[in-house]
Amino acid sequence: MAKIKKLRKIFLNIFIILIISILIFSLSGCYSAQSIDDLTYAIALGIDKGDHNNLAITVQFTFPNASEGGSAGETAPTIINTVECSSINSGISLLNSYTSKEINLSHCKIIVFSEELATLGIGEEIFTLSNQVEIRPDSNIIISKSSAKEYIENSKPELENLVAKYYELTSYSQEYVGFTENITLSDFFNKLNTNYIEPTAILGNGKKLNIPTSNNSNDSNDELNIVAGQIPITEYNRESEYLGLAVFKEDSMVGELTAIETMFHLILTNNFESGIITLSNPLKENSTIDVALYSHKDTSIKTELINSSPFSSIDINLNARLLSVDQNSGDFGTKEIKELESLINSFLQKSILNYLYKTSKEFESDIDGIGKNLLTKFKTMDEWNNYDWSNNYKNTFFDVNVNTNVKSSFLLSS
Amino acid sequence: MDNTKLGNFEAIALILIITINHIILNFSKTIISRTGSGSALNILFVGILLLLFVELLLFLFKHFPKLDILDISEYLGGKTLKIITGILFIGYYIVFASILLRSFSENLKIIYLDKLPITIIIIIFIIAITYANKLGFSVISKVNMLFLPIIAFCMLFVFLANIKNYNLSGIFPLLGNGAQSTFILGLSNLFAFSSISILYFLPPLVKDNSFRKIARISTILSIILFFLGIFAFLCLFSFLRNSEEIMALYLASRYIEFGRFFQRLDAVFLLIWTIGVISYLCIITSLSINIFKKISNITNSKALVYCLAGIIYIISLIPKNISQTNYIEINIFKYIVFILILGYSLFILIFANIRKRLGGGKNKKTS
Amino acid sequence: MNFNKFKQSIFNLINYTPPKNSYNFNLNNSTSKNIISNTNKKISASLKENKNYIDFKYNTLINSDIIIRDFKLVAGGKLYPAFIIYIDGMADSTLINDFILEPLMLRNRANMHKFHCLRTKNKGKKVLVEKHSNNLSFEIEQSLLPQNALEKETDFSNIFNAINMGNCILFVDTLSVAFNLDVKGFKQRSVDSPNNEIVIKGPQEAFVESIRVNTSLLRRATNTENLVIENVSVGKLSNTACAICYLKNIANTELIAEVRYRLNNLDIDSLLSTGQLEQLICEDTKYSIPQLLSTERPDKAAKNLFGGRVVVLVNGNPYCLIMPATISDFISSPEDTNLKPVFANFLKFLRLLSIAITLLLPAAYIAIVGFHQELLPTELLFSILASRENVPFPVIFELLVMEISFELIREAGLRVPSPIGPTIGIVGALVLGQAAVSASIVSPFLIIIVAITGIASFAIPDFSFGFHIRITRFIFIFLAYLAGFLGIAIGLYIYFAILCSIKSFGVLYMSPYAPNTKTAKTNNFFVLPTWMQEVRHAFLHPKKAKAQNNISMKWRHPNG
Repeated sequence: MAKIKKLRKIFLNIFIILIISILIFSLSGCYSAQSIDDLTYAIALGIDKGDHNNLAITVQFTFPNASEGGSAGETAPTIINTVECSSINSGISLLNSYTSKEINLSHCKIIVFSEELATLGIGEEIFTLSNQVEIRPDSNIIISKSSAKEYIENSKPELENLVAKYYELTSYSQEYVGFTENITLSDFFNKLNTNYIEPTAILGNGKKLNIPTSNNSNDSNDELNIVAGQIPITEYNRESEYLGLAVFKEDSMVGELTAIETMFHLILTNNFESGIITLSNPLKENSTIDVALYSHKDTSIKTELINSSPFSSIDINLNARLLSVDQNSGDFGTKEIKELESLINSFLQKSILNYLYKTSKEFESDIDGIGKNLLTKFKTMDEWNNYDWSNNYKNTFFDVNVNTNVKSSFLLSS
Repeated sequence: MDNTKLGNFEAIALILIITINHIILNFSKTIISRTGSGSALNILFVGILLLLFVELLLFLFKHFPKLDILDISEYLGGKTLKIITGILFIGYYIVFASILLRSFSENLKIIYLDKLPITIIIIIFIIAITYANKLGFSVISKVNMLFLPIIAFCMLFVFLANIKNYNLSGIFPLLGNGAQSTFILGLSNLFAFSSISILYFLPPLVKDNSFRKIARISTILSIILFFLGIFAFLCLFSFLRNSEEIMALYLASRYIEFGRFFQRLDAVFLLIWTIGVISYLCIITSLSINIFKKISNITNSKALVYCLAGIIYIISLIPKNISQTNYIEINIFKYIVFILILGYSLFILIFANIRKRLGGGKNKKTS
Repeated sequence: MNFNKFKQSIFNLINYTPPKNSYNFNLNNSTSKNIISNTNKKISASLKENKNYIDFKYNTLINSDIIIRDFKLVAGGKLYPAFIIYIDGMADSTLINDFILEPLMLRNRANMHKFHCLRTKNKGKKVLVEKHSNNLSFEIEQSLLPQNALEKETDFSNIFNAINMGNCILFVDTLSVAFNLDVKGFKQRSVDSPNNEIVIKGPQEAFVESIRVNTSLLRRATNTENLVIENVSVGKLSNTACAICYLKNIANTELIAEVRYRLNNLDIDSLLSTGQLEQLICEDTKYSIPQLLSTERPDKAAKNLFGGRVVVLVNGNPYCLIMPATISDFISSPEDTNLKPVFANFLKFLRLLSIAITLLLPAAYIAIVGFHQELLPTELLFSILASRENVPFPVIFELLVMEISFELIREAGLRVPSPIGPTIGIVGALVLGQAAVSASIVSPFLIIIVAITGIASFAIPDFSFGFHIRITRFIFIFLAYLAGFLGIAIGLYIYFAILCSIKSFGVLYMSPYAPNTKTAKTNNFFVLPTWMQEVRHAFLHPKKAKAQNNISMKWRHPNG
């Protein structure tokens, strides 16, 4: 008798569990599982200014190839759709009604704004993007001098199969070149919200521009005074490129940095890995020598308030190696090395000072974070807010000190 | 089941999991929004005060070995005071466990489970809590002890892996909104350490001499964890952003990347924190059941689980949206912690000590 | 003629035909009553009565292999009628002929001599004197039977047990005792290498079916007089011999008493295997988690005996049960003590990884693909998308089909006849898998996942634990489909809660990791080197806690 009761109890338990699970399945009616087959992944997002104060959103999808192993050199096709809308989210939902699969932004690699839109202010869009769960915080922010649509259309990868891989690799490769920086949405958003540093973004171009002729032949680094679109590549498959940075004050764009100025910016913000500059040869007339610069110690920036006017003294420490050698390089003794070092120092000091005054007077935007050190001088938040650093930056005086150590050249040593 | 005592590490794990849950569920954001960049100093200051408070507690508990606060309140005021204390603590635990459950479920819904109704998410948690509670308190504390190192390690991992994004000037200016705001108004940040309420119930459950050691070690570890959390959040995010409503730790985990392949690892962390939240809820529920058993002389408390689970489910569905949940969490929670844990219990202890010193005749053990 | 035949067949169709007698056998309640055997009968002095009783009990007229040999026994110069009874095929006939029948039937100096008996004289001295008394049994036992294992029985139940085990029983007229002679000689499997627990560097002996051989293997391995092997008989009808083995100066007395208590209080008819016994004496029957260790290696059993556990052997089954068992026993393999600690730890890590993979990999795949796609690197995501482009089924259906077919292949592999075994393996793996992918029934990615899970499940050292993990992963798959990582988190928590609540013979299942008592130097997570394993596990509460001295390598540190 007891066993029958026990059996009955067991069956009752199983019955209840079954009923509950069936109820959960049937009553909830909608699960959150989005099957991977029903989603399409956007890898690039472009935002332009459309007509009538609207935005024009461009989205690029990859169409995954069903065939296994496409032949080498054949890239996976991409699809580009553009929609006119009043905000990013309404644009995405309009596009959703057009495409057959649901758009998912969790693999979006780049977000491109056009320069036209950036000068008007992109704060709202940045906040909207940061509010979304799907967007990766490490997507790159690119400001395109042409329209964003042209930039995305002209981004055809030459060395990779997938466009997504091309986007990823390009931003990582900037570490060893030094002519632009890997700026992500989280960087931009953080800097937008602090008041001791202003945001910057990658400068890109979807169309090739004419290469400017050099006016000043004395300045051997003239060829680096270029921005995106002006890289002197004569044979190319792809028109989109980026070089340089876009400078923002608050959330609107106020200017741009050329390639060499970006290198100075990286040196000042301690993001510099390596880069190459050209100088005139101290031994031979009318010839140039290439030097590879490496970061040695962190740049130290000390800011003080002298009569309520900021004064900033900057110390830069770099290592250098000789890149170009000829048969006279064997004559490089200590005296020549010292001469070379002082040449590098003077060049860098002059150029960086020019650059700093340019950001201070022309852009009025502290992109190097000079105000960060000033923060320690204040005791409370209210004092700092009252000081209003962003308006006081233009009164800053700079003093730059560069110290370079020429180590050696590479295989052929001097 | 109650014959076995909790080991040292188990008891410390009980207290630490509550602290970790508070860090996960956004208490640090609340603190930062009040005291701004001075939160680092503030937490150190509050921590030192907390240590003093715990020392005072230990001194007051010294005269009542192996008695928890229910027995002490019975010694002081007879059965009525015991029942009142028990009901107050049960109410506090259950209400705030439900609110925290609701807050976490809302966050989960925003991040991942958009289409699943919030009732289903809460029911999933409730089923887990019910089943685990039927197995008993010792099982829950053991599982907690197993999972705590993993949860703590993940939290520290999130902090450490974000080092390249740290901005040390986030802790400047040091005094934040002013010295007065940091030290005096900032005293209210003591509510973040409400995990010490477990200490009131620990003495009969642990071995004799280890209660003092457990109390000290767990307090110091809680302070260290909280300080690390606040320091990391100050350096990662700008404190001018008050508009975040989602877990700051989750946002921090979104920034982690190793090379090109390991990006957006937040789903894994969310799995581990979910285990932490379930652990916390189970501990609270079984502690409440134990309190109820003590005040009402029930011998078999297995059926109580269903009642408590139902009450938690109902209470967690009361707030209408996430801002109401946050309001309750931030404002009401703070005052109740101060009144109940810091105020009321302290009074009971002090009066009981006074009575013992004066009276001395009446025996404390009546039941 | 054809028309007549046609007419006949039509009439056959519509005419009345009697019902056919098809063979219809049904099993009903038996008509004969259940005879409750009363084997408490004592042996009587009359030979005929004993013989009739044995004829009745053993159905000797029908049973073909029960042999009864009557003869006349010579003792003290007189002849006594006697008979021996044994089972053909179980007793060694040579031994019976040479050492029972020959010394008793043929006249020799011993049985022609007058009886000797023992009589005590005054002052307590015992002297052997000639006497003509009726000490026939004493004489037979002490002087006539050159048999090394002899017992005198008075109860028929013991007699029957002995006959069933293969002994030979001697009944003599006028004696109310019978002699139980051990002449076992049945054929059995010889000691061979273990089939299912293979190690590289350890001994290659395994238990066999006979309990006596198994106990001898244990005795040789432990080599100490403290090893106690108690005999218990389980099952009312089968009287299966079980042996409880323990080291009496190490194992906890209460543990031994509990094992004895549980084994003695089993009210079943027959016990045939260790698996059956395991289910009968386990505490927790709700969950599929194995709570007793079962092994066929005597060295593993001996190691656990030295650790303070109890080993139970069942006659007729080469597996022994070791109790109590904790979760770390199911994760470790017998190889751990034979290898250097670095290798042992590496293997242990691999095994833990294999358990995690078997349990969680399919569920994690479903959760990531359904809920958390941003976890995947972009290229991997696109390759998964490309591979799933033409597959018509949803992911969960695909996964369940592949998992079930993998289990089918595994089960079928046990019964495939050996000539075509390898061929099926190659056919199944390569051709079917490749064909399924080309026909776009499954995506190649899923095949990789299922294959890795399958391989990992083979790496789990214990068979029943591996089975349990394979069953549990279906629950995790279901949970992951329901709520993604949230479901997996809840499943993990409840699983660990269940693990922590199970007890195995008084010891908590998670004892090395979630201890109740303070354990100082026990081996918990890592396998320590042999010279560091100083104490026995504290949760076993052994009588002798220390297994080694602090400095076990005295040759290295002669001065301590």
